[in-house]
Amino acid sequence: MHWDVIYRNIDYFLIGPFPKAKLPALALLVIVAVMLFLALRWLKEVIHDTHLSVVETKPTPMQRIVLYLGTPLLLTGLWFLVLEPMYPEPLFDTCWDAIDNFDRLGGITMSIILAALGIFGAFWVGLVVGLMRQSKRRIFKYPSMAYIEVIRGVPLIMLIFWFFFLAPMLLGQAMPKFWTTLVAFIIFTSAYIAEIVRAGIQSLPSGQTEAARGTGLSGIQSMMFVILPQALRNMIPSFVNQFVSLTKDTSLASIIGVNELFLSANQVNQRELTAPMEVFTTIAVMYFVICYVLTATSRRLERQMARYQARDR
Amino acid sequence: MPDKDSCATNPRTGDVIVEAQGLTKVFANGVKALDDFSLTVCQGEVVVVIGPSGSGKSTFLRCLNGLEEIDAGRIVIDGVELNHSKKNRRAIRTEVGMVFQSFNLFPHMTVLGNINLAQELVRGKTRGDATDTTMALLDKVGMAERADSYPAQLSGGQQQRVAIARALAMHPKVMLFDEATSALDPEVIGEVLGVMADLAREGMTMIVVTHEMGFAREAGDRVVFMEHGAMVEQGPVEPFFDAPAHERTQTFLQQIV
Ligand SMILES: Nc1ncnc2c1ncn2[C@@H]1O[C@H](COP(=O)(O)OP(=O)(O)OP(=O)(O)O)[C@@H](O)[C@H]1O
Ligand SMILES: [Mg+2]
Repeated sequence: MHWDVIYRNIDYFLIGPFPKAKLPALALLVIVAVMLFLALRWLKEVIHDTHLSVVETKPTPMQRIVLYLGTPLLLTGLWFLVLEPMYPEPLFDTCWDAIDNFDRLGGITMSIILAALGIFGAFWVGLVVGLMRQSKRRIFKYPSMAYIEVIRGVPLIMLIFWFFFLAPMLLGQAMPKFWTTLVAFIIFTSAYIAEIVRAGIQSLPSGQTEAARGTGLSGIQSMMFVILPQALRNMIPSFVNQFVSLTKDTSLASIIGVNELFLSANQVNQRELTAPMEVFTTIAVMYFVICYVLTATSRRLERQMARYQARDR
Repeated sequence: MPDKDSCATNPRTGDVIVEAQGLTKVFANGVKALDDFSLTVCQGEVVVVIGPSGSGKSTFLRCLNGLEEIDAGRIVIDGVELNHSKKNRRAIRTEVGMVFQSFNLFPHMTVLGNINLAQELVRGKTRGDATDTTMALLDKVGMAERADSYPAQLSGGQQQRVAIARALAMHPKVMLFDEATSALDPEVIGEVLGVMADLAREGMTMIVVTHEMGFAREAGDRVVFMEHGAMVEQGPVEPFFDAPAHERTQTFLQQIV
């Protein structure tokens, strides 16, 4: 047994060939992204609050203060009080440095980034395509039907290759491999998401739409406030299935040379040559852990949202 | 038959508010659910619609608030014609409250949320104003202390009372009830009928499809008997039940009593 191979290469499994000296820059980038995300969520909450009452469970005022004021404050404090003094160079340059070295990032970090962006993109594209599929208007319905049928009829690996070779033809220059695969992932998964969305909407009793329209809500309003909130909850298990698939399928990005977990592991394996079993067992466990976190989170989400179904009539 | 003049001369009622003329509805499968059906309803009047299963009662109500498109005929509600104009259609849906046999409350929202929703989205009320209206209505239907419950936590009778409050929240000019008590256990039918009778007493214009003849006698002004999508007979409650003119009406009434 050569488990020391894993131990010696653990950093490669985690971040691939990313230069270790730039790691703090990467961390900083993550912090900036989180701050941006929180700021946006806060903004959304504010808008929501003054407008509509459709969110039923609201954070308590205390939670809200902590979450939406405290967190950004804390992060800003961290930035100016801890990070700035630690860094000789200006912080924004440091962040930029991390972006500059992005194409050298690999390992499980890259796999997670690919999966997360893929899931995010596929959800929104799939939602739009699924809603278009539901529409009575032909200009929406038929293109989305064609999209779903075509995409579901081809293997993912072919889509990856296809975009890899298509992008230079369309753009006149090579697109980074990372983006090519991400586009392929989003397009591939969104077709399945669209079908889930359609089925989820159709499975709701028609009385819901009628009650909503009957009180004067517009079609869009009844979709946004009555149909989708219910349908999306019912769709969670199917979504998670799809997202778990996608997470594992990110390993296919390795065939055009995107350095993610699978490729990183392969590189380690070829460098060491003594421990293939250990190397591939390790990444198997890593993939499993990511997928398990996904399913566990979704189960929790489902339980939270199932409150209102407490008693069925 | 009531028309503009009889509406005005009847001391119990006001002007004409619902005018349905020559309604015809043919479904895609060829079923003719409405066949040249006409009905005029005066303000404050309570019209009870009865008829055998499949006679087109539900279809008539659904056409009145635009949930089904009519193939021929004319519907005018409080001076607004239900036509292809989206604006009119929405205006009518807002002015006409509908209560369904299956309640159709929104299961992901509390009672409060259910009743607030359209007030805020359609009437543009602030949450506070909407909640004030909602609580007053819940009080009226005897559900004030359940404002924070989810529909699944309520009995059928309670759900239906909430559904009535939800429809009332838009301050409708006409209320449509489609077998509002048919899905309920016998012991809770009374609480829903009680709310409906209160409404009738307050002068709400109502078109009620029901099999509850007791309610019809107590709260109704006029009874309409439908069959095969057409009107067989109509008339004021007492004479209608005591001495129906039509033979078909007689046999139907014998069956259900
Ligand atoms: N969406 C539809 N598509 C096709 N046919 C329909 C549809 N809705 C109703 N029908 C038909 O139209 C006719 C009238 O139906 P409607 O529901 O209006 O009857 P009803 O008087 O309300 O009956 P019930 O007392 O059973 O509720 C029936 O023959 C029914 O089968
Ligand atoms: Mg019916």
